[in-house]
Amino acid sequence: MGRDGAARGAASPPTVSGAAAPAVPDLAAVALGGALGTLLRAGGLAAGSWRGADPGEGDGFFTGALTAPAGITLLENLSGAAALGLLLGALLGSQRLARAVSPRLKLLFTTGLLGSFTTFSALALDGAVLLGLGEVALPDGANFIGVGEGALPMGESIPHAEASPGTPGALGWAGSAPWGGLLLLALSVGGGVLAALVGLRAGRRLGTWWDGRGGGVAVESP
Amino acid sequence: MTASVLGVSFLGVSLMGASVPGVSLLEVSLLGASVLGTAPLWGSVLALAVAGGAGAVARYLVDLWIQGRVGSFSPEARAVPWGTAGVNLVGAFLAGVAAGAVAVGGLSASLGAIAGVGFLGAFTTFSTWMVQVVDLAEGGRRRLAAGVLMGLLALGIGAAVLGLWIGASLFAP
Repeated sequence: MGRDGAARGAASPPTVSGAAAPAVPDLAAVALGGALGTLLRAGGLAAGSWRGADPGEGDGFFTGALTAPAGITLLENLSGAAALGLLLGALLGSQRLARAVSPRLKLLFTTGLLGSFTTFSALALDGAVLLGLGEVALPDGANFIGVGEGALPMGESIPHAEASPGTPGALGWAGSAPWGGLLLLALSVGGGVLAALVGLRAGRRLGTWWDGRGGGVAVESP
Repeated sequence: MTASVLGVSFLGVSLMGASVPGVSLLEVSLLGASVLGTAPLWGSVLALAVAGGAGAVARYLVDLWIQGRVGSFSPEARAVPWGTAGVNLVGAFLAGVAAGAVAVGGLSASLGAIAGVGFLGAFTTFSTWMVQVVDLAEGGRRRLAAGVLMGLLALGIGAAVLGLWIGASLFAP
């Protein structure tokens, strides 16, 4: 399939250097998808951290998003990887679908929406902090709010991450560094590869099945 | 619990600002529904949306720019998703800087969230990385796929730690 599937739109003509010259409507599609994907991701973070929010701590929406359990980002990343795999697989498997989806629309959903719904920076930051590396990098007394989402409950300062009594549960392992960090990283890369693989294969099957239902008519014709 | 929390609508529970620890999810949702349209929420949503859209466009452009520069590489080296690796490493580093600055009080949590969760969250990507790793593996380049997977993870954590340290040092009040 090539990386063109995930990262590139075909709407623009290739330049001499081989890189596509981005067209403004393409950029608008990426921006729209990116805004939607970011809001979905931030909404999940805020939803996942609502119990830790303290009304006395500034703008609760932001601090809520910043202190969400790392597991929320993990779940969003895995579901986003599966969805991207499914979408690209379906486009590969079905010529009917591939013809129906314009390059710009594809750009909106892949590079824009799903690319922005998932994130690497929060994973790296969460992983670093949960491995205990945040204590190495930050001075004594630094406040871990906003560093490694969910590593600490609101208002508590480093050095030792502890799950607050109110925040354990399915995602409460975030406080048990460094095992939480190792678990997060293992689940991220292992689960991410699995999710993308299963998504791609399921998408291809769905795509070919869908083409097959069409009786194979017009598969080759424009 | 996880599924139910995630299943609640964004607009309902994103109103963390008004929530109180201990209230039920339902209450938070109702609270959210009742405060829909309040300015602080929509300001936050708009700021995150704009930052996220800008981050995605920046990722698209930087990725195109990087990929346009690898044409002279060997076929094996060209197979590496340099664009995704580049944006992710830069984004992890900058997220570390922003978080380090917030941690020492040199940057407000709101600005930190707009930069970190909004722009840099969208600037970096996990899904494209994973699909590219699977693509490499399915194409027979399993060792390269494993290298891209584990290498980018390790380098990303290193970049985040370096960013934390620099951000905390630079922005210390």
